[in-house]
Order: sequence, then C-alpha cells, then structure tokens
Amino acid sequence: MNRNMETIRCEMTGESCLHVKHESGLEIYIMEMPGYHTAHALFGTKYGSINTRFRLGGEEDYAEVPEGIAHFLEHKLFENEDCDAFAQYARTGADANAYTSFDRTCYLFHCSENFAQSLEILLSFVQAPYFTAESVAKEQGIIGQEIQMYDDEPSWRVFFNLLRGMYHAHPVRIDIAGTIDSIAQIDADLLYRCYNTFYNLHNMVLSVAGNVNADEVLEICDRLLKPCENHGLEQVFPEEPYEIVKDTVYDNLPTGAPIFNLGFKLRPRSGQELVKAEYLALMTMQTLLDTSSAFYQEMTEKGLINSEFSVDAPFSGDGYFAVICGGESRDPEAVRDRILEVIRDAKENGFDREAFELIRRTAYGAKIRSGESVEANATKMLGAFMSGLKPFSSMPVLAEITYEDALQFLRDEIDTENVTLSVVQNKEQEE
Amino acid sequence: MKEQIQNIGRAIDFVSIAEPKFRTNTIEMIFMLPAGKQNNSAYALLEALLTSTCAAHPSIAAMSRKLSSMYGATLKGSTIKRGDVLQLSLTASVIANRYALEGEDLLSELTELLLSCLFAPHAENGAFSETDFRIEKQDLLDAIEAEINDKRAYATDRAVAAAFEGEPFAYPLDGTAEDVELLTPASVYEAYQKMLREAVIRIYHVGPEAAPELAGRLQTAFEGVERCPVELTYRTPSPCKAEPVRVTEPMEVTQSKLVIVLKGETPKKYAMNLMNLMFGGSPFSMLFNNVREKMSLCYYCSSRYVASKQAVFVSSGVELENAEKAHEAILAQLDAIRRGEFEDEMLENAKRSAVNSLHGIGDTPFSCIGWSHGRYCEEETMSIEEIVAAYQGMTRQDMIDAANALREDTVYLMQQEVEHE
Repeated sequence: MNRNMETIRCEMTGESCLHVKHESGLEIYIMEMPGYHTAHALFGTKYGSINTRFRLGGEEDYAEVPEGIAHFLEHKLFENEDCDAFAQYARTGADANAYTSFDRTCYLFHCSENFAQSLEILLSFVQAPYFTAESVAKEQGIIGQEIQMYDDEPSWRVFFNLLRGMYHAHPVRIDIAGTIDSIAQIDADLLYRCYNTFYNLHNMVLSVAGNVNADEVLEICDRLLKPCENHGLEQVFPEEPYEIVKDTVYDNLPTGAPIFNLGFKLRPRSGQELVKAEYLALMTMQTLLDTSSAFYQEMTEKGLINSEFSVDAPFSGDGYFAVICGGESRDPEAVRDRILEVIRDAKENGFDREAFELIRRTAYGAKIRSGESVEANATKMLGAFMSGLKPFSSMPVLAEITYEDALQFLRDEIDTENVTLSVVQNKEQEE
Repeated sequence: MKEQIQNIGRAIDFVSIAEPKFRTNTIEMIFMLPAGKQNNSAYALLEALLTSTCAAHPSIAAMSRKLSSMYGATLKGSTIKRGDVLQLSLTASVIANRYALEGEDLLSELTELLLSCLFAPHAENGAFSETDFRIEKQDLLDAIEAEINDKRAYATDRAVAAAFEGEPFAYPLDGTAEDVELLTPASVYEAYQKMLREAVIRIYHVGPEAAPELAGRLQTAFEGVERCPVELTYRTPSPCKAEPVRVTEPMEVTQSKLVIVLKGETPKKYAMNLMNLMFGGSPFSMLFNNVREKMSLCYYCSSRYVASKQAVFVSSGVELENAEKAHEAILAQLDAIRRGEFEDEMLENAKRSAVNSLHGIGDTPFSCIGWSHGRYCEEETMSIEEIVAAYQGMTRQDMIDAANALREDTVYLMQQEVEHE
C-alpha cells in the first residue's frame, strides 16, 4: 500500500519517529524504541473544555453547548453497547485511562504485553459512541462528585480563581468538568452532536511509542479506522480584552500556609511563534525567579516563600497565553510586589546573561531526558500535533534563542500592570 | 534487567544496573533506619539540608547553578516509610556523557557532587549552617501544615495513625510541628552522624553502561566512617483489633472521605496482592465496578495492599449521606470474594494485570531501582519470570483464603459539614 508517510528526525537528540497521514484522515505518529518492554498509546482529539462554540461547513449559525461537555463525553465514551472499555482492557492486562484538558481529550493505555489487542480496543471504542438517557443520568451523579472533590483542593481552586481573575470571556476561565448546573443540561443528543463534530478523524491523532512495530500499528489502523469526510469544523471564541479582570482574588478553604498563583496575562499566539514565545517567557522568568536566582535566595531567607515556589510551564492555547508562578506564602502580596520589582528592574537594567545560558542548558538537558521515557515520547508527539507543529520542531528554536531576544521579550511582552494574584487561605488567615 | 551487587562496607551494598537504552545516569543512595518519633522529623530535615547546599555550593542558588551547569542535573532528598523502617534517599540524575555538548564527564561530576553533599555538608563545629537550617525548618513546618491540602492523602494518614497506633508506622512521616520545633542545627547534625554510622545503606547506579570505578570511589568515601549498622525488620505485621475502631473527623469540605483499614495475611506469597487487584486495586475490580459504577456511591473507591504491614487500605470519596451505604457495600464486595462469588475471568484479569506490571519493570531508572530495592527488603530471590509463574499458578481458593484472612480494623471518616436549615 502506498502511504503518505515521512520519517522525522531530530539531529540534536538522535530521536526519530514515523509520521503517517492515514487515508481515513487520522494523523499517526509512531516511535519504535528498541530495548524497551512497554508501549504507550494515545488516541486524542482537539476537543477540550474551551471548545464550546462551533459550526460545521455549510452551517450558518454557531452552536453553543454546555460547559463541561467534552469531559462528560470522555467519561461516557468508555461505555459501549456491549460492555465498557475497561472490561475489555482487563483481558489484555493494559493500564488504561483518559483525560480532558482545556484543548484536548485523550484516551490512552500503557502495556508490556498484548499491545495489538489493546490498540484494537482503543481504536474501536473511541469510534463507537453509545449514549442513553439512563447512562447520562448516572454519569451526572458521578461527575457531580468529581466536581465537588476538586472544589476541596486548594491548588485547583487557586488556579481556576486565577483564570477567572485574568480572563473576561474566554472559556478557559471555566472549570474543565463544568458545574453541577451546566452538566445537568447535557443529554444524549448533545453528546452525539459533539461527538460527531469533534471526533472526526481529521481532527484527531494517534501517537504510539515504545515496544511497538510500525507495520503492525498501521495494519491495525487500516483495519479499524473508519474513513470520514473532513467536514470543515470552525470554532469561535468570544472577544477577549488584553487586560485582566482584576488584580487580586481571595478565597477560603482549609489549608496550611496560604497558597498563591501569580499570573501574567500575555498576548495569545499560535504555531511556531508560540513555541518561541513560550521558551522566551519561561526562560526569562526562570532566570529571574527560580532556585538559582537572587530573588529566590532572598525570599527563602526572609521566610516569604518555601520550596513549593515554582515558575510553571507557560499556560497557552487557542486564544490564551499566560505565564504563572506560585507556591505557599504567609504574605503573598509581599512576594508579588517583590516579583514585580525584580521584573521592572530587569526590564530597565537587563539581567544575568550567564544565568540565562544555564537555564538554556537545563532546557536542553530536559529534552534529552524526556527521550528516555516511553510515555513522554508518545505524549510529546501528540502535543506537537495539538499545537499544529511537527515533533522535535522546538529543539532548533531553543538553540537559536539569544539573551537579546529574551530581554526584548521581557520589555515588550511581560506587562507588570497586567497581573493577577490569586490566594486561597484559611478563614482565620484573612485580615 | 541485570543487577550486579557488590558489598563495599558493613551493611553497605552497591548495586549497578546497566541498560544501554537509557540516556541518563542515576545514582540513588538509600539509608534505612527505624521509623518513629525519634527519627522522622530529624531525617526529613536532614534530607533537605543535604540536598539544598553543601560546603562547595553553600546556598540554594549556588547549588542550583551547579546543577544547571550540568544540563539541569537533578538532586533530591526524600524520606518514606517502608513499614516500620524509615528510608532516606539522596537521588541525583544527569544526562549521559555522550550528550554533553563540551565533552564533560558528567557522571563523574555527579558522583563528586553527591559525595560532597553526603560527606562535606554546609556545616561547621558539629552543626549545620544556621541560615540553611532556618530555611529548611520553616519549609518542613509548612509541609506539615500543608498536609491538609490533599484531603485524600490526609484521610489515609489519619486512618493509618488510628489503625497502627503505638507502632512506628503510625507516626507521621515528617513528624509533628512540636518535634520540628525541638530540632537544632546541632541535633540534626548528630542525626546525620548517626545515619552514617548506623543506617543500612544501599547505593544504586542505573545508566546506559556500567561504571566500574564508581564502587571503588564510594567504598573509599565510606572508609572513614566507623560503621555500626542497626538490625531492621522490613515486614512487621500488625495485630488486628478485636472490634473495629471508628474515627470521625468533621471538616469544612464538600466531599467526605472514607478510609477502611483491613489487616491479615496468607502464607501464600503474592496471593493477597492478586486478591487486592480483584477487590479494589484495578479498574476491573469489584469496588470500581460495583460500588462506584453500578451503585454510584462514590467518585473514587479503590484499595491498596501494603505488604510491609500486611494490610489493605480502602479509600473513597463519598457524599456524607452515602457513607454508611458505601461502607457496607465495600465490605459486601470482600464478602463476595470470601464466598467465592466471582467469575474465573476476574481472576484471570488480575493475573494479566499483575504480569503486565511485572513485564514493564526496567523501562525507567526508577523502576529498576524500585524493583531491586524491593527485592532486597522483601528478601525475594525469585526472578521476574518465577514470580509470573507463581501468579499464574494461583487458584480461586487462594483468593478466597486471602479475602478470609482480612479483618476490618479501622474505619476513618472525614465528615463534610452539612448545612442545617
């Protein structure tokens, strides 16, 4: 069979993978890893909690669906007409799971045996939706419990409060699982509609790595993938102002020391431009604030932060981009103020060039390190697809970034007036 | 996966695992001592002090820069409880030399760094640096205070405290705030000296190739220590209470947490592990399928077998009004296994799951170390394939016996506050 396929290589790390544009419409990435016993497979769609307004080619109006429906669909897809997918996986011994994030839903398994049978299960159940009024009602109860469980998690609360403090209208401000009220609006028809819209193979990817054989994977795909028409999915997001909603958000929950997130709202980007901006944002902030910085040493010595403090990987997707740091502090406002001072000073006077180069070295090391893991390799190939990029395409960007680029980015893009502080603390910690 | 074990001192073993597929070198030094009030806080603070600074890199920033210069090498300390044994680990990892952009010998640098942390800490006159001590002490106090942030783990810790009361395993891993307040730079230094003298030590190296010179360097480094290692017991079963104890703790949460501790063991090795996969340790288990899926009594409901204490922990998130029903339903699943009311298919699924896990061992450096270290503590001599064969030979009766061996010991409920009209 003539296939539309290519081998993609990374010169710096020596890694390579096979990319196939399958005739069904599905993009397939395969990384064979000799010497490994396990395999990891992910079947994902570009459909997450933010995809709530859409239309298909030929449709005039945009449909708007309840918040949390992508996550709900993920739960329901595990059940098909005969039995659930977990029961099928139990016969192969694979560890199976699924997750929904802001911009994607992924179904996955990890195994050391019976890979082919597990891949058949994965491809089959994700392509065979089966929803009934009864099963939807039952799931509403289970997901309601899940929403409540996350409500009790201070780190979850502080993060979503931050997003609501930064974003006026973009659906990234909504909890991935929705709310008790929004999931109550979900019914079987809505689930089928969302399924048929987003689980089109042209909107999906299969990524496998580890102890796998490419020919075997492709043979199973040929047999089980159901070709579908590309139906011209279009999505819109509400207009999002540049400015944050508010500069501070406070909430109460039983917790130890108050926990905080500090978010810098940045202009959204996409594609290769986003890759570069993500590196610049992360490397600049790490140079200024992470464990090797004067800031970190000063704040720990003053007892204002502890080892929980970190600068997170940039938070980005369709229509949103932010850099977030956080941790625990008995005086989060003082930490925020000092961070803003450090950034203002760096904008004016520059920052430690040598420290910046060390952060770049660390990023290079992390790339090498991740290539050792079956799971990380499958996940990064999937991640590249979700961002509209080729695997390994970020490596040359990392090599080419200069100190001057970083300083320019800091001066132009990190806006110390466009920052939200979110704090979760015990009631008695309130002033 | 092949390990080469070499004795390099009194109760000090060096274990080398070479796997050409790996791109990193990892060294983990594990020190084992008795757990309990006397040791837990001191060693929790010690691991932080030994990995955040050393004499050559005497601040967090200096140490961090050193690690960054080694392409983001990692250096971490941790403590865990393995039954009644406290295990302190110093773990460092770096990319393999072949990836160094300037030809550096990164494995050698990593070894030196780890030895500096262990034998030349940032200390003088028999006490750790005051500044480092203050920072890490506050960090530990914050960590103890933050235990409540993770409600699921917190509920399990509380259940453990009640179920194993009076045993070292019951004591909180980081100790208490009161314990930490009593520590000083000198007392933790004393604990450090005691660890070097008395701990049972295992040092693991996992990398793309063996590094024969490592054993010699480590042996030389430990030569100056007068060793007097303690005797440790890694499996310490706990007596089951005559009547189950119930502990209820009200808390301002929206979802209650129910934890049940069951105790008991069968003489047949691995039978309890397999029975636990059927009971609640897998997505095809009875707790998941019946209590969560069919009865919708909780969002999560699973069980975990802790071999070192011969106990099974059931953990679930429930609505308060369903807590009693969930409790009954959980015990009813165990009763069903006791009566042999399960399909052959379920036993076969449990075997497949166990075998799948066993055959996956060795794909990450930490899985190699975990496997090798577990074998040492459990005094396991069987190979992976022999254990697979042991699982394959398990019968329905073995599962029935394992379920029958378990008795309910403790029921802990974190009770959500209910709004009253």
